[in-house]
Amino acid sequence: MNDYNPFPQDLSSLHDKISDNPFKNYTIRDYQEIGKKYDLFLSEASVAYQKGKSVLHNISLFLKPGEILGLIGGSGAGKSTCMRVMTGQIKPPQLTHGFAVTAGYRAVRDNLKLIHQIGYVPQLEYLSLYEQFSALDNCLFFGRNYCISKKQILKRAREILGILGFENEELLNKPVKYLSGGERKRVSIAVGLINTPKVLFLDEPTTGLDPHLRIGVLNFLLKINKEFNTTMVIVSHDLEIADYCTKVAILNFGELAGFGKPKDLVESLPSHGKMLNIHLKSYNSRIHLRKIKEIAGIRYVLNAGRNQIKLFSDEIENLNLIISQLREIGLEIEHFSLDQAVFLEYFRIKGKHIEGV
Amino acid sequence: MSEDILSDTRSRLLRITNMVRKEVKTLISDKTAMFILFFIPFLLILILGTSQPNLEATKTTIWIIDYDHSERSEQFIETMKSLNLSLAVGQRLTPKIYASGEFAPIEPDLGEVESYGNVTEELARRTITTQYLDAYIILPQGFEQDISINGTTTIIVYYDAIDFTKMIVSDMIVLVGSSEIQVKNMLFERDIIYFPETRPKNYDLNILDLGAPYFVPLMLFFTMQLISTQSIVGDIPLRRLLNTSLKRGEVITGKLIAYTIIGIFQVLLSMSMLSIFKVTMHCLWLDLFLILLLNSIVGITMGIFISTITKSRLQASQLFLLLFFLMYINVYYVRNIFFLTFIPIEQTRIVYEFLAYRGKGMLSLWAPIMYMGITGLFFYLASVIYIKFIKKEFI
Repeated sequence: MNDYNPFPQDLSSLHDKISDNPFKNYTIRDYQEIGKKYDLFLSEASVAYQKGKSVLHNISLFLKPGEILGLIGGSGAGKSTCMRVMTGQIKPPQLTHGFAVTAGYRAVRDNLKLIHQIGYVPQLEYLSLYEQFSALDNCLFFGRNYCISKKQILKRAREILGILGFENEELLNKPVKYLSGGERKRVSIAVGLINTPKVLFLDEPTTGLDPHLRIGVLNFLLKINKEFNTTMVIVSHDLEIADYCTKVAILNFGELAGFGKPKDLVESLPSHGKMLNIHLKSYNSRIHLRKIKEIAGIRYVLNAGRNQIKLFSDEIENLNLIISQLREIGLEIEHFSLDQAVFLEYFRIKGKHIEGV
Repeated sequence: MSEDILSDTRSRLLRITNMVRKEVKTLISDKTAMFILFFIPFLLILILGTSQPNLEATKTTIWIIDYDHSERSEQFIETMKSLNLSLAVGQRLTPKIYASGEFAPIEPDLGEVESYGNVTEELARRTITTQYLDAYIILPQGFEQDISINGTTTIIVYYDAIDFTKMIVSDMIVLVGSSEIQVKNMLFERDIIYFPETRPKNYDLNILDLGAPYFVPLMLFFTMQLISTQSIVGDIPLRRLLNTSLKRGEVITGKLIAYTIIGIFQVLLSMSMLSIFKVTMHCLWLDLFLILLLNSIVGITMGIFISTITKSRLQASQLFLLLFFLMYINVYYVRNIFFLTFIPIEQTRIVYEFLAYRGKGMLSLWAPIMYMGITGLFFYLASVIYIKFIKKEFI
């Protein structure tokens, strides 16, 4: 069970109703109130595809207009399931508890209206674009399904693709099959945005791309977010997306291991995320780890490469005491520094990729 | 409320139109599909249209062993040798006839290039198993006497029944030859009257004219069904598409319309080719066009159904082949009446024959047309239901 109960304070009046039975107690007006304030509101959602086998347990997330949520977790963590709940693709009885209000609509009941307000960018663009069509033709084809006029679609497509770096006409009219991986990804993003969605869902937008392309795509997403104030949900296992997100949710085996602003999450670690980065002459985790854990105040120990550890303690300011205790257990310190943890460390701890306490 | 319905109908039409446009564009840019849909029918009709029925290729050899040595038996042999079968069956057929006392080709021994043997019953018995002889006729003693006294006589015919085609051809030659002799002896003129009178008068019929009701619907049905089996399962981005406002039922309708549009051009091409080769058409051109198009549409609905229920392109192709062979076997071999009713190629053949060769009107052929319509509608609805409620990949 996670420790999070991130119900927003500005909707505290609704909290008691949720705790009781939201399906019965919530009125249309309640949902409308949620929809006005939040573009994404997932409340205590639990999903089980088979009876008794829960794949998502009690997940609550909320996102204001224009915010970017990074949904991070390993394989099988429940990221895609979580996204499918938000887009209304999972309904009761699979959705065993909870509800989602997305872009102002109840995800399950108002699904037909919701579809017009959301955009979706699947993981593999070569499976989600018509390769023989150009970028503009793809936008045109997908856009027409929302019953938007050709003129409007082309105007919008040129605008988005322009932001995404498709500046010359040749690139706009080139069949997708002749575009590079990064260009295809951007076409896919443009297609997802063609209906001017309030919320854009992106499934692994950086997977399979070179590092420079990954950063390029994320920068383009930021540009789009600033330009159109589009709320975004990015599902990924790339931790670098955290730098681009307003909020991050970490999923671990179907449970919410952390949710909040990346900076706040890091600062929620012992000593506000300050850690002792120690380079040792020799270190054997099998021998030394147990002894380190016995040192008073040590909360987490992370292996950080050959003969290097990172320590998180409630009393990190008391450096000399920690160092002397490390020496007492036989560890020879080459040098050490007091650093501020980054999101990677937080993820390693909360995602249970952890050694130590 | 009514405005909502109108707006909903309009949106639906817009989405279907969009789907049709995309699908036609995709099909046109698919070179393989275009090759199958247009070049193969073109080539097949061209080959059939320029080919004469020619059973000469079978090189039928018949021996006549004459034990009677009479005037009538000589007459029989001469008649058999001078048969002009090209007139009688509209095909050029020139069998090789050898009579007793003549030397006929037989199986050469090891090291020999060609070998000949004197035609006798004993040699015939040995040679019939070697493919050098397809049939032999024995004219027994008393052949002429029986005709004189009884007005009838007996001949004995042995066939090489292992080669089915040759057996049929030999049988036909013997029947035609013996009927010629009967005609000559019975003193009445043979007169062949083709019925119905709409049958063409030229004897230079091409295979296309003889077999158009079989070949053309089969080819159109086969190619359209083959291509449409990939319509859903091969549309990989469809899953993403279904995250837009597009409905599952609209996908099926859109694809059906798109393939039908391509089908119209395919039927037009085929019919133009039929016209070029002057294939018999004693009906309205439009009637034949409509029936061939209906045949294609049913093929498309079956193809889309296969594509809907399968999970991969390979699976779709396998199921298509299986169903096609089942239909083919039933039409050309088993002929189970119940299933024939719902097999479009059979119903189209019937309608085609009645329209083009017998000059009947469409209205008189409502029954087979209705059966085709029912079959098409069934597969269309089955596809819609399957994709809406059962296809798990999209749910």
